[in-house]
Amino acid sequence: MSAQPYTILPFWFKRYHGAGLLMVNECGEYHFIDYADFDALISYKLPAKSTNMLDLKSKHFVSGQDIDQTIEMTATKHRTRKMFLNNFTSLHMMVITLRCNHRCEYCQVSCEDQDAHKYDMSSAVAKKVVDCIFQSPAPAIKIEFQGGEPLLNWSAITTTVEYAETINKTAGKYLEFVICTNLTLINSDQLDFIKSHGISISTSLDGPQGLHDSNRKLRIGESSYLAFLDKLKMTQEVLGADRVNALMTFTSNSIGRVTDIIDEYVRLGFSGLFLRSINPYGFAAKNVASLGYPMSEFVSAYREALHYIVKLNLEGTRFIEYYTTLLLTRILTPFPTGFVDLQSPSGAGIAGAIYDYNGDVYPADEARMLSRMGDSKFLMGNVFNNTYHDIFMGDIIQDLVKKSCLEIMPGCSSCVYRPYCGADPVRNYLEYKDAVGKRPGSPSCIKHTGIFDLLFGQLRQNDQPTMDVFWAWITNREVGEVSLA
Amino acid sequence: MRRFQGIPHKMKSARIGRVATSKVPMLSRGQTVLVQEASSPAGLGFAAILGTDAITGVFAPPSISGLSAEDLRALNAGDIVLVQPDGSITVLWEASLLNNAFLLSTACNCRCMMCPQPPETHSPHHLEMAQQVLRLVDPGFAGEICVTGGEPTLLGERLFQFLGQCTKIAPKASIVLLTNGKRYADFKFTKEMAQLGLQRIMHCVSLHADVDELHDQIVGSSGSFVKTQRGLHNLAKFRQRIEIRCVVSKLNADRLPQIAWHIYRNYPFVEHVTFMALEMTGLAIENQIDVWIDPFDYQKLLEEAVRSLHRAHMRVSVYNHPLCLVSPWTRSFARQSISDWKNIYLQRCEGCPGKASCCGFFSTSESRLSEHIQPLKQME
Repeated sequence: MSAQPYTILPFWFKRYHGAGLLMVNECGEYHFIDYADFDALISYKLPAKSTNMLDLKSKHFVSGQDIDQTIEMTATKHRTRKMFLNNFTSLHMMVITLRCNHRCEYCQVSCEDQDAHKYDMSSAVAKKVVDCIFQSPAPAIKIEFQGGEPLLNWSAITTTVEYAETINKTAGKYLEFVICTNLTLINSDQLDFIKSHGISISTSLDGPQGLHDSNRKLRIGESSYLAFLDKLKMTQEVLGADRVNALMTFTSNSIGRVTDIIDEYVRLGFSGLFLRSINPYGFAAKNVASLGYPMSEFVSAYREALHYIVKLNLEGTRFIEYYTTLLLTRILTPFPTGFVDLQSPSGAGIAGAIYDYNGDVYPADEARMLSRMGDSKFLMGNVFNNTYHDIFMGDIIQDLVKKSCLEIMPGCSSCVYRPYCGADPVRNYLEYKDAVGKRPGSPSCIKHTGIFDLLFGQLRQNDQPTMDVFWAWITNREVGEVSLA
Repeated sequence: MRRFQGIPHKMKSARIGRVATSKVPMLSRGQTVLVQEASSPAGLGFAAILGTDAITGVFAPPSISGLSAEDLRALNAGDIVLVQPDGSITVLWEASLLNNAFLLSTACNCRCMMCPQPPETHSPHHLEMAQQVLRLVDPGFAGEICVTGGEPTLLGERLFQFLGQCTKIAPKASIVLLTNGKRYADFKFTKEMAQLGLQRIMHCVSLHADVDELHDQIVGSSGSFVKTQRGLHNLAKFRQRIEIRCVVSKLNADRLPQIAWHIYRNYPFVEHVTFMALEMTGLAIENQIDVWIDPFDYQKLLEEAVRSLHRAHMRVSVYNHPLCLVSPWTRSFARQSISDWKNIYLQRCEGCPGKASCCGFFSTSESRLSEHIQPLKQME
């Protein structure tokens, strides 16, 4: 029997912008509190009828009279948030070829020349990969075709799609396909196939012509932007704009250009963008001096971009920043959100896997790149030589899970943003030769704490129109539908 | 419920019957109450005859006379009425309404401070009467059957049987069950309810606060909050359809935004959330010093609560709040939620452009009305 007047449940906290504290608990609830009440809380002197006390009970920071029930409620919410773990691997990426007609400055996959056909995935490999994919217990399967430039090995794509659809007639899974392509080689026959099989397109756009061309180069030396623009129009016309998304990579060239980049996305009919910082693999590792930047630069750019995008939405242009949407969904909703690169435990292997052109299986694209750089630590197996069980239940994947639970990782375990963040063990290994890594203070930590600081600053400010925009993104509705303004 | 009073003749016992306005075949007359303006001698076999003039004669059936033409016009074919030896006529079921209610018991395991219908000890009479009425309901009825109390879940097996009969007799009707949800804390009970396999039932669970002490204080029974919480989660485990009903009083008005957030974070599976204004009768009047609050005074808090649920894409409604007492933004969530028979408008409401879509007032609450009732200046 506790002598204290109330029971405080585990929580994390942080002093916040000199104006009180932010508290977060295991079920993902957050609460802003002033210093005086915080001190009163932890010294068990917070009055029972004070608003903060009632709020903290309401959000399960403090137990009600029935502590078992409070723990049960917390457990239910925690379980719900971790539900992304239930279905096991659903994202399956296939490296259709390593060949590419581009040679981008920041390419993390170290592509090969356009005529290096030995790096193509054969139809025999493709079918064997599909067989492996369909052994996953996941009820929803997304097969993503990557490269190199996957369109250079088109027959492997059609073989995979048709074979997977045949298998799915009996498997009955929710099956999706995405082609990650620079689009410059796409033709109308391919588009007809893409359309009739309901395939989505994920392409790359770094901004206006000059910026795009300085990052993304065609091997033959012409502007890749003009070739892209032409094919983008054609693709959007055939498939509809909503089936075509683009990724942007933020390089040192992008600094100071975020509004130009966003304007370009809006102008070209994209419904949103995903602001991505550069990854230190492949060519990017070699070019880090010219393309890299301190992560604090990225956070500043992100802040500027978010401010600008919210303004666009309030002025009537519906446009989404996808990373913000993901993070806000984690903060503001009780629902689970899987995101391979930022979850705890990491999604590497257990949420996503990548199949190299030769049938080798890795937990993440970065692990495959590491292998190309000479360290095959994360090679989980090969679809010809190993069973599904060997590959997905082996030591590598188990080790990755063990070493990527933020709950038990020093530094992260005590971070106020821990319930919303995630681990990237492969990247940690790459940077520190250790999957656990030295995360506090790492570029990824600077990026995420910076973004969380920014988002919680917005939540604290609670500007009503901004909140309407955020909720419109989270619930996938028009801003006007949310605000009723 | 609508009631009329007339002069009884030969009314030896209370009868429940379905209203007919024209003659029906002999065989079905025993359960038929004939309504006729002019007296006609050929009324043999009816449960009762209602009219303006008395029916005389040795063979005349039981009847109630002295009713006005207006009273008689208010009774429609298909209505189900209770006629009693004292000459009273109570309409138990109105065929023209989309929503009819069955009160199964006045017993309750809560004693809510704002309850408009104070709990009493259980009497089987309510359930028996409901069963009699149910048997007379038109099988084509496609509206809503509201099952209420007291606390209907206290009837256990008898409630299950009644609900089963509802779907058997009126398969197109949907059922709303008004409950405090405590009984659903019993997993086995909830499982049995779910196993009835009723497709068209909505469990409307009362939840008046986001913290135990406040909810328990309001419902007058400690441990209630925890039971209702468990009940909500048990219902969700069986994929039952759930609505949460929160009655706003002086006790919980200042926590409306937090209550809304608590509902979203803990019960995001509920299909509908409603915020209801007080019906100032029964215990609500007895406790009016503690419970009464003018909706006008909490309109900002109500807006905030509705806004946060609407943002989170929850379906949310505001019941029993006249349009002039909620903020303009909230008006599109306000529903005409007051049952016809006790729904009134005030003199002041004439000429209000919002009247056609406004819920108006409870006739039962006339003694305690907001001081801010006024015609809307313009419709939004």
